[in-house]
Amino acid sequence: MWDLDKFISMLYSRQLLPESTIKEICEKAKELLCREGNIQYIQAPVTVVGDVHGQFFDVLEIFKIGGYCPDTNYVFLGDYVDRGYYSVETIALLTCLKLRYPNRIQLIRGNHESRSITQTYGFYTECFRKYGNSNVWKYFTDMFDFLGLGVIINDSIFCVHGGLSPSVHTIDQIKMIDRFKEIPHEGPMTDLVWSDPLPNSSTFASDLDRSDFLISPRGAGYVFGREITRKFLEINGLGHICRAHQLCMEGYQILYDDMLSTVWSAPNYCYRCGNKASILEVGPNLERFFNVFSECPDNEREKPNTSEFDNRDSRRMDDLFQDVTENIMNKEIEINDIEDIGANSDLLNKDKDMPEYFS
Amino acid sequence: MNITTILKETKCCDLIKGQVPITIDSTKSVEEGCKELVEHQFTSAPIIDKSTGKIIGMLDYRDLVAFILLVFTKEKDGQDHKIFLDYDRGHKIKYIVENASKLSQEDENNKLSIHLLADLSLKNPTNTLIYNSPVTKAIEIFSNGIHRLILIKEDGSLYGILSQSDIVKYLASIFPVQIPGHTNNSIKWELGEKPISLAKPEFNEVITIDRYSSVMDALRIMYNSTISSIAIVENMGTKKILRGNISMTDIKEVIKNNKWRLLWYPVGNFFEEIRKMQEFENNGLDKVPVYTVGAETSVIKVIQKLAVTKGHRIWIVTEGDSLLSVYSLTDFMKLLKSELDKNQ
Repeated sequence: MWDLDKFISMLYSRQLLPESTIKEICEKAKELLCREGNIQYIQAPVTVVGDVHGQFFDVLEIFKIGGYCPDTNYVFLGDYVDRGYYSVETIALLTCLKLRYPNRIQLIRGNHESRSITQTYGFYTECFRKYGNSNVWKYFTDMFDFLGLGVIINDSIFCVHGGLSPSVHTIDQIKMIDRFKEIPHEGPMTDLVWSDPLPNSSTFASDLDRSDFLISPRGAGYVFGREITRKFLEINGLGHICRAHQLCMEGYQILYDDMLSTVWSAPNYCYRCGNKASILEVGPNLERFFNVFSECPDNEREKPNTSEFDNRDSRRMDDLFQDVTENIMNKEIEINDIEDIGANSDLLNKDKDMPEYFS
Repeated sequence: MNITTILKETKCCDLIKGQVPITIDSTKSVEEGCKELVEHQFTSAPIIDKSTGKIIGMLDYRDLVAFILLVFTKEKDGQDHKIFLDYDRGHKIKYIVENASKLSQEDENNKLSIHLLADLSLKNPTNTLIYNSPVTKAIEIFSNGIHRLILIKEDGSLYGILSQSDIVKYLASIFPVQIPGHTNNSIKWELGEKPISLAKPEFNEVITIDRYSSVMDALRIMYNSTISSIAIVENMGTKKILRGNISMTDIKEVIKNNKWRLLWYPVGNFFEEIRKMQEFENNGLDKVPVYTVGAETSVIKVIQKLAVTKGHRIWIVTEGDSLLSVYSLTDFMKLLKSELDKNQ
């Protein structure tokens, strides 16, 4: 039964939607997104959110701090999945909110909204674990092909996930890109989701004013400086670029005399980086305020049950092997044992304890 | 200005100005030596005998892998220890194994000394060159598969280490950043501007491994095939879809974090763990899972990507992630050498 409000309330309480429902919401989302251009034009006031990476409880924090959709307008800059433990719930919630309030929330594509990235960085594994097959992953990654590439607020603030591209000088050129496909290995679409600005540090002082791009050490996209940013804003009559894609310990970073800013919305990234996060609140007159927050308090978060992620038996076996190998490296074993290693590896042949997998 | 002239007139020492060569004390233990390699992010380093100041060999990740394969393998290989094809290496390893306990007792800190591991792997026999030789001479040596050269001064003392990566870095820097559709190179290099597929028309047979095989299997294949990286693929009909890659140097993540259990993981999972650890160390900056270029990318652009990513090889793909070939630093050295020979 199609009831978006019901789906949304299930998702707010972190209940997984059935596979068939996921299929339906992705189909409907594709139809909706298809009609939206590569660049969406919207009006302030609006709140811009950076990478969330499956940190569902921190997304709930964002709604608590910034206001729930549709009371607050939102622009999400991509990277909804991977790394965190609740990528499925996160992207499902945002997709349902988009279907329910299409003019109140904008979702653009990040570099993680890609089949090859999600197969390496966690989303694929999470879908398989939660649904027993890869269908849900397929539905979502097919839907990702339809996400837009940028948003412009009040004809002044350009929002994109990564950064600028040497192949793109105008907004019109971005509008001409065929975005309905997997993110390619190179080209303007790749650059928009992978590029980074050069930091302001003295190491790069001489590069900041270069008029050419540098190849990015990330393996895709480019790195660009102040001069390139200034020119892009000037040619396109824009006032500011707001992007995400880079972890900021303080939750946000402002560069190039406020021509560009980075907003990062995943606090304590990967549950270990210890960073703050922020959301950018843009007021009706384009006033910008970074609302900084830390990770949601432990008593409000459900820590994942470790047996969900690690097979208890193989962990015991791992520990056993760890002990054995550490002993060898620390040379704590008897002389006889060392001489045995070359001859018959008895030390490592604990057949009766080893699961079949290891034999 | 053409590329041949530039390479002839530039000296090897110019490429590594300001380098502080890292050396390893021959009396250090295996763990300490490898930890030092890891800390300084080198894949090999010369081992110096403290008492004489002489360079007695190079320590390389392949040496460490040889050691791991020996100690941790479950294969019963019989008395002759013929795990390894080369008898001399096997002999050396046998010596270590049989005498490890005695040797470690001689060493004051009761550790297995690193000089025993030096040069276990044939890939880095000690090679030296006078520091002010032209770069063309280094390229000639590198094109034979040598990865690293020890540059010495006239008096025989160590000037620094020149690697294949240093050549690539230099070449990348003398051309402007290549942008698709623009050719604005003031230095003449016809081949450089051609697609990589034309530079090497015969694509090599790439050695691949399925994501469910174990890391130890991967190490074994790499060691026996004398390659330093293996592609993790998913077979789809006749196509092999590139899903990741594992290199000998990934072992450093195991050492650094003491995660020896990872050696028994399926290689696909190991790859994910490695990427996670690397991202954490890289201030949360994520990278593409595997460094790739399309078959149409120009040679110069490929070199620039190799230089920036500090990779030792790059994978050539078509139509998304379908694996076509691999291009290693040695392949580039061979390419450069044939260019230089052509223009003689």
